[in-house]
Amino acid sequence: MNIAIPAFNWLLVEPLGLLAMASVLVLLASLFMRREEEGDLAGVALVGIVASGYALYRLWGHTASGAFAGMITIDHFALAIGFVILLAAAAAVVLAWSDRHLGAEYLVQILLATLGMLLFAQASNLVTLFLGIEILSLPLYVLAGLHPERAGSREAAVKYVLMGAFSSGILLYGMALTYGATGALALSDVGQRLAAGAGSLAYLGVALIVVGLGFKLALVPFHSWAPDVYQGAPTAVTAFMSVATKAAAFAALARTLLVGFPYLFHRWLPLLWGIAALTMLAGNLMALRQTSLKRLLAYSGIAHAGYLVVALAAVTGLGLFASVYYLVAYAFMNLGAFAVVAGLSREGEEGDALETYRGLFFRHPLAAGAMVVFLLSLASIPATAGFMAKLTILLAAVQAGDWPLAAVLVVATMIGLYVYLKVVYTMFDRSGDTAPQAAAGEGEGQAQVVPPAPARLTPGAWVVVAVSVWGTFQFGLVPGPLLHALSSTILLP
Amino acid sequence: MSGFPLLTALVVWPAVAALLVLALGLARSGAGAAVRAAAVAAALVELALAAAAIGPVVAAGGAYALGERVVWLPYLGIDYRLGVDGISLVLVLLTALVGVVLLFTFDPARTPRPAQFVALLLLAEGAAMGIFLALDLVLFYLFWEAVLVPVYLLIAGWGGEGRRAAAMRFLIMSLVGSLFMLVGIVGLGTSTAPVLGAFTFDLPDLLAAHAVIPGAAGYLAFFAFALAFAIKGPLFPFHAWQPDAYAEAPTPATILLASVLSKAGVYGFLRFLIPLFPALSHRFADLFILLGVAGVLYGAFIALVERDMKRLMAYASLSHMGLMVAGAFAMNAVATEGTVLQMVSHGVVIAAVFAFIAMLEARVGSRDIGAFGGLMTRAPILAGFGMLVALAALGLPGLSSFAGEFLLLLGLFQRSAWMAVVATAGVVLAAAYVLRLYQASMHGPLSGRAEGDGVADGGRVDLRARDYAVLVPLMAVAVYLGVLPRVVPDRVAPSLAHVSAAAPAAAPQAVGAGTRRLNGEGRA
Repeated sequence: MNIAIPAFNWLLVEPLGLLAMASVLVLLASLFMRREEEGDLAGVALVGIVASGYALYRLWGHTASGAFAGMITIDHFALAIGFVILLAAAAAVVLAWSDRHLGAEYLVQILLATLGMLLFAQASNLVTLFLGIEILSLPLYVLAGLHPERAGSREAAVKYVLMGAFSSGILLYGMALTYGATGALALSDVGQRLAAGAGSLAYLGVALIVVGLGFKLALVPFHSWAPDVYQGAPTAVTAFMSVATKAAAFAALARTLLVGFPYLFHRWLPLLWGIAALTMLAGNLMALRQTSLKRLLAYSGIAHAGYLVVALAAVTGLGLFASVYYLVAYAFMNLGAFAVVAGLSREGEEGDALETYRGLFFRHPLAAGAMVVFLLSLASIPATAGFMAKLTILLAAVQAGDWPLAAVLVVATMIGLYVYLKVVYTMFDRSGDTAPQAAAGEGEGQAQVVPPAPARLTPGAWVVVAVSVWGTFQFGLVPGPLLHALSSTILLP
Repeated sequence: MSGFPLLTALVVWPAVAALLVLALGLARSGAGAAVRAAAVAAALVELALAAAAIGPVVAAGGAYALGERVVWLPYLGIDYRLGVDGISLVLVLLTALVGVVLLFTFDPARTPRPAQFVALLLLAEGAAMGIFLALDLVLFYLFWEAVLVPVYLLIAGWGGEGRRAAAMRFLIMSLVGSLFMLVGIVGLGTSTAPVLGAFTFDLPDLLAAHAVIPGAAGYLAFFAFALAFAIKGPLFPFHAWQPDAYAEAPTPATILLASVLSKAGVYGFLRFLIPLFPALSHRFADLFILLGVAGVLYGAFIALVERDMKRLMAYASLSHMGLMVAGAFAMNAVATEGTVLQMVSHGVVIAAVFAFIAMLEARVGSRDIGAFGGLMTRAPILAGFGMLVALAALGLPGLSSFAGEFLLLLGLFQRSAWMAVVATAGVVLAAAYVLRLYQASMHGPLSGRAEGDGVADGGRVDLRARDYAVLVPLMAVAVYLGVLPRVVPDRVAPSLAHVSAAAPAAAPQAVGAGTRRLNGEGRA
């Protein structure tokens, strides 16, 4: 028996290894520290994330497909997604820096989830794909329930675990069917075997894989967990999940479909069209009626996943280019928005009720001003990154001839405008603070006393907000350098 | 001037000035007068910059002058490209002039947060400049949207009773229109890929490449553009936002909307829709003329019965904008030159009208047409200027509106005699509603609230220095353009010829015909 030992280039997994080392370091160090001091370990975690980012940066230009016997693929697409994931992870660490409730266990889970996400985005084999989704999911289940004293947190965690297990099962079943149809696990082998022809087994396999990944991406109709989990989880975790999980799951979906099932595109493309249209419309429509800002942002996140699928459904280089651009823009504007929400949360109480934001501009002009920038960017108003990225997606869709999908995207954007402008309007509305007693006296069921927001954002929140404002304008006004770098982000077919 | 980015300066300077004014306001709270003085200085600099563009445009003879081009989004064919020709020049000058005078139409001592107020006005002015100067469709879209934010904040923050709803409706309707336009822009930009080998959003390149979107998508793109411009104008029946927004907005913002931003809609038709979609524009020209003329009558009839003076003039403005759209789609040089002349003229006159209404409201505390009368006895100079403004608004020969409307209707007559006749009826109605407004406020016995409020308490009710600063320049331009209207067609005609040469399918007619007629060379 002759076993071929493949040559391993360990540098390719350096980003993953650094994250693993940092998480172990944090875990061990926390054993020797008092509970109150554990927050300082955020520095260690941050160093790990930055080092991992540097390792990713060094891989730029040294891409390798099918490294580790075809288990992972390092290409510019994966690297760019990796940067987005690390950006979100860094934001999650910085946001929690001064939160006494989030100790070492938080940092460890964030680091491990980040590791899983990087792997997920690079996976080019069904086995690594599943490994990635499990490594990223398990820490997220814990993170979602990290505020056990709050009722919503526990509920969020349980819901997330159940839905996560369910979706993993579906994904695994889809993989099994695919293996049954092709006898291959590496995505490129799957693609080649299917070139010769495919049966219903493969069709069902790809459909189940799309559904399984659709759960992680929170695409409609697989989205029902997202609002509850986003609302119940600590805001720093929500910020992380909403950006990093989305980026990783999108990368996995794109790579699986484009590398594993390119010859079945006539089967999965209509599926994507339907899901994209449904997700964009339903996400924005459901966001309309939310009274909790975190839920509103959850539904907005669902809608934005729909825009990403539109880019993917173009099935062109420009489409992938657009999706990466969109993820970068989305990372900045969404992290910034959640940073404001996190910063305005008080001890153990999340500042997510929309009413808390009434007249915010007159109490916190800077925080409200930054929030306006993020919301306008989410609404894709020009001069922001959100606009430029959506324009690129629109270009990709129209170029591919997807006029109907482009039209749905525009209609969904219009509904979204109303969603985001409503929040902006609330922040500039002064009626709340001029006559609170009068409102209470009228007794219109407005009995709940609106708590004034705390005096200041935490320093960590300010850092994230400042970086996000910079990113939102940088990639909205002067996107040249980014586009230059991304122009090579075309997935290997 | 070589090397100095004059057009960028035109766009950026108001924004810089806005920041300076804000800083001044923060440094010295309660310094309303100082803030206004600084803003006026900045607006005068802007006017000088705009005037500096006249020479190069004349020298360029119809082509784009002072062009600036920088790659903005590589790989996507999106450039930062500005340029100015005869058509945009007259609108830039109008914007700069109105940008100065509107600063005199409010009382900084009685305006809350004057620094923010003035800063937003300056920001809107800069964005409006961008609309008229952008030659890249995406850049144009950026300015098109950018102007909404300051105007929204001006209405929502400093408007009248119903300001929130009015501001929201203005914003939502404008955004819906412009988002459709974005799809059209994307469709046009991508349609050139087979011809040029890449995307381009550059207007001259698109015209040169005869970019055409095939099939149903072409119709979609055409109407997407048209909807955005129709809402901005507004063109009947897309005017639902307009009366409330004009009435609720603070006077300077009303002037900005009615005088400058409404022209952006017609400008969009002239500069983008008709040249970019020549075939479809010809096919649907009658539809737009019909809507325009319907708006002429609809606006005029409502203006006949409206009691709120600002709403009255909002409907009158709707009527005039309808006429301009009809003129733009008459598709001949005479009508187009008349349309541009009328755009400038209306911009000047409507600014004076709304300023005049604000002066009345400041003196008697009401805009209701029946609330007061006989003001002439107490404020003769105000009444005299008011008469001049009213005559300009109703199109008396010798004043600017007459020349513009005459040329426009002449051109429209060539296209469709019936439509021209009906539109003329609307113009005649203008005399009725304008004189109704004037007589109700000025003539008759001193009555109503005019006796009770500021008028009767012996205070000064006639024109003050800042009122002169508004009315004198505007009326000077109205008289100048009435006596020497050819200065506008002289600038517009070569540029029209240039556009027609770039898009031969647009069926150019005798270019400069209007100029010759005005000069009495009709038989030549």
